[in-house]
Amino acid sequence: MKAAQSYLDWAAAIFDPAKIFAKPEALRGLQVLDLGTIFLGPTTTTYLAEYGAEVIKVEIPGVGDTIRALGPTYHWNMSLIGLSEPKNKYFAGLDVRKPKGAQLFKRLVARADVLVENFRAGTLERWGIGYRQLREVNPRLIYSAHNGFGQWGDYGAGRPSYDAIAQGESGMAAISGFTSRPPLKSGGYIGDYLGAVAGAATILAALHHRRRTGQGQFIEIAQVEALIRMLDWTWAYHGLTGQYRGRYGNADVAIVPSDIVEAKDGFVAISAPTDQAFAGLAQAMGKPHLAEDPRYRTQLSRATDEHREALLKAIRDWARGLTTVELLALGDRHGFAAAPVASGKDHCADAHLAARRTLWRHDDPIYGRFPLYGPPAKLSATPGRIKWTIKPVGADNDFVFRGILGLSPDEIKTLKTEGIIGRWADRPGQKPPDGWTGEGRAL
Amino acid sequence: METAWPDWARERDHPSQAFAKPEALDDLLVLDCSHASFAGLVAGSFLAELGAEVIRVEPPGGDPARHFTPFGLLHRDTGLGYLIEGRNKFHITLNLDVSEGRQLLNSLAATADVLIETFLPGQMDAWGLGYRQLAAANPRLIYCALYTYGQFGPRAGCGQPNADIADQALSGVTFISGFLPEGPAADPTAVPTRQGSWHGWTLGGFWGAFGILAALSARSTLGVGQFVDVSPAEALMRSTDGACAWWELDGVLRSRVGNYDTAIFPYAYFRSKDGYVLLAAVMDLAWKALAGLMGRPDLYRQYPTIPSRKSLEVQARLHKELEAWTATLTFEELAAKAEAANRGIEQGVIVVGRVVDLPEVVKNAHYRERATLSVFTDPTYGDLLIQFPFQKMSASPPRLKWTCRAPGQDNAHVYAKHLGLGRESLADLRTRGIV
Repeated sequence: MKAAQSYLDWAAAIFDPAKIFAKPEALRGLQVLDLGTIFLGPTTTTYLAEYGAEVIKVEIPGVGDTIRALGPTYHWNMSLIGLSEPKNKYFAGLDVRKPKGAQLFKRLVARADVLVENFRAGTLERWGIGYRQLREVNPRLIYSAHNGFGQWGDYGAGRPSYDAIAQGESGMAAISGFTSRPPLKSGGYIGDYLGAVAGAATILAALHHRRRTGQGQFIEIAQVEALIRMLDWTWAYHGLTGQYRGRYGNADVAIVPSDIVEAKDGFVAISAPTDQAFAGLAQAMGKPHLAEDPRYRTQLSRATDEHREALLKAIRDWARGLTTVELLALGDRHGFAAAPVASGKDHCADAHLAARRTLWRHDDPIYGRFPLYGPPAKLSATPGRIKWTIKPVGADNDFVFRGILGLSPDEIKTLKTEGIIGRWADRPGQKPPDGWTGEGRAL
Repeated sequence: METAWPDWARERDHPSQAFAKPEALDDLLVLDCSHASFAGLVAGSFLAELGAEVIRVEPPGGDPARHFTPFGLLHRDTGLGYLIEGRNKFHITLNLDVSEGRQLLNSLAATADVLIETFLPGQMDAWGLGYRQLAAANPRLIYCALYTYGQFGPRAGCGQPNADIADQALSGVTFISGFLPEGPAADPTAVPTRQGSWHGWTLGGFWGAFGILAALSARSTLGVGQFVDVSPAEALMRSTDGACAWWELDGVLRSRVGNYDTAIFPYAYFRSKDGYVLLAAVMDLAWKALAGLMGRPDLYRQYPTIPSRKSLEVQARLHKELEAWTATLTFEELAAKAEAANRGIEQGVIVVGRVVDLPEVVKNAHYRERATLSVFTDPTYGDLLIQFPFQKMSASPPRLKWTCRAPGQDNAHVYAKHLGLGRESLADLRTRGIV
């Protein structure tokens, strides 16, 4: 069934991206502290910030988050991933490893709702700002500790966690790719991004609990565990059959057909997850009888070893003679899934993504214009939004230390001399664009 | 601090205590109307694990997703994927093709906090069960629809069904994943490659849960619910690290790089004596130390800086050199060498991680100890090796109560509890094909 135009018009109106800034924010008033590095922790608070939380990112002066140095290229003295990842945060340079810095940090904690960190287990406690210390300052605090394997347990203790390790340790790499090839690492840091949204959603659940009870709490998000959770039927299959799931390439052995095929001019994902969609695909292939064939009529039968390969081969052979655009049009007409394997370049030219403001034409107060991927969950009444991305280390020091903590200019000066408060080092990734006048700072 | 941190944390959040503690979301009533999509099912599971009362609404005969199962295998009439995501949900059947069935869902939605659906855009609306109709009676309702192309935009009405592979392909992650050809001959494994699991659906489901919970926060101040529109393809798009900016700012088409990284080396998978490892030495001094460990200081001298090691040609060349060394050592040997070398590195660190086969995940006592992955005894489905909720929480932890139910197994309970329909009313509805 195709959607009635009246529904699509109504939906386009209530989600109208042009009205985003005229609507309130879902998490307005939520105070968040970000003590993370690279993706796992910081992306969690980015998601909260996109929906309205006030996130203060605390970095070591002159050092900053490593993400600032993650290439592959630099613009305006900032790495591309640095430009693309953080959103809407306030950037404070504070050395929390030093006792005076930790004390100032505790004052920020006293007024905060949420703290997110992704250090190795126990690190913050050594600096005097672990959960045990901070809950004394603020029992309502929701403290979320993110890492690879958790805060306790023999195996994870002291093990470093990179995204590629999480993909490797969870079994995700083991089930991705082709039998004849090694386990495949995703090209994106998908374990980090999964852990980040998993963490952000868990924090919001803890916030709901706090609204009802007044109680804060301690949360652990272990990236490897989140990935293990998301490997669908992998574990049950072993438990029930004694077999281990293999690497099946692009063909799905649980939904048939579901595969990536090579068309005349590019790769296309093709899938018919329901019997109805399969009948549509069979029609498009000019072989409507396939949908009546007892070998292929039902999902369960199509998925068996005896039937699956022959069907997938027939689809591959058929698709080879068509262009990407022809396959998409057939998918639309007959109700099966046909989607191009899209690139970043394709995203930039995609009218659908532009209309949804998923391809977000950002104009940054410091860096100017460049494209970003917008907030994925579209909320009709309190939509997410992008206000700015990264800033130089310590760019919002005045906002945080004067505006929020009420330190006098003299006190700030002293703390600067002592190396407690500070800003960027003269290095790409940390420092502002050449000729920056300070525009875009919060204060 | 008398107790060591790990012991203290363990005492506070070990999952064995979960049932002695309150649940974060147990004041929420959720209708999970997912249709043939694990994105919706995962969103519902996320809320159900944290305590929401989730009513799973299926057509009589069950959701097609019950048949998304490897090689067509069923366990007690249920596919293995669905066995995982039926968790903690009350399962009812309801025929939405008939008006009386739609009326019953309408009644359930009148008191619900959240409704999740994955039909084609406009289907629920055409049934009179869309957000605009349900919100008229229940303005506090949070209505979450998950669909590959979302609810608006030129492709929203295209009519294609939800499909994980389409989500993955559209996201851009598939384009940057997969091996490169190693020789001139056509190689069917050197193609853009999906994640083995339904990563589009699962990540999309988490984004659905996030959107719902953000809307719940908003409701606590605004007093009203709203419509949450999630495209799993767009959710996964966020995992491409700014591929769009790379294209527009640099004119570089971010493409697949096999088991390498786009920008840094070494940060790649290598064959070891006993499997595969991730070996990373990103900072130049760590790379120098690694080259020293290998007895190949010449490699460091030849490629001393991060940019000098970036090109795929250099990565492929260095990868061969490194693998000749890693293949002679076990993971433990490599890790010990790295640890020893790290003590002398001024800036940066050599990291060695395991890339394991599934038996090693299953056998790893860590995951049993933490109740990440363990055998669960379900009253309906028996003993299952199953993944538990992944979060540890000290005050309102998630938990696994049951893993799945048969279609309509909870009809009597749910229809009595929420609509006051008892045994005889239910028998009548069943006879008329409504439940």
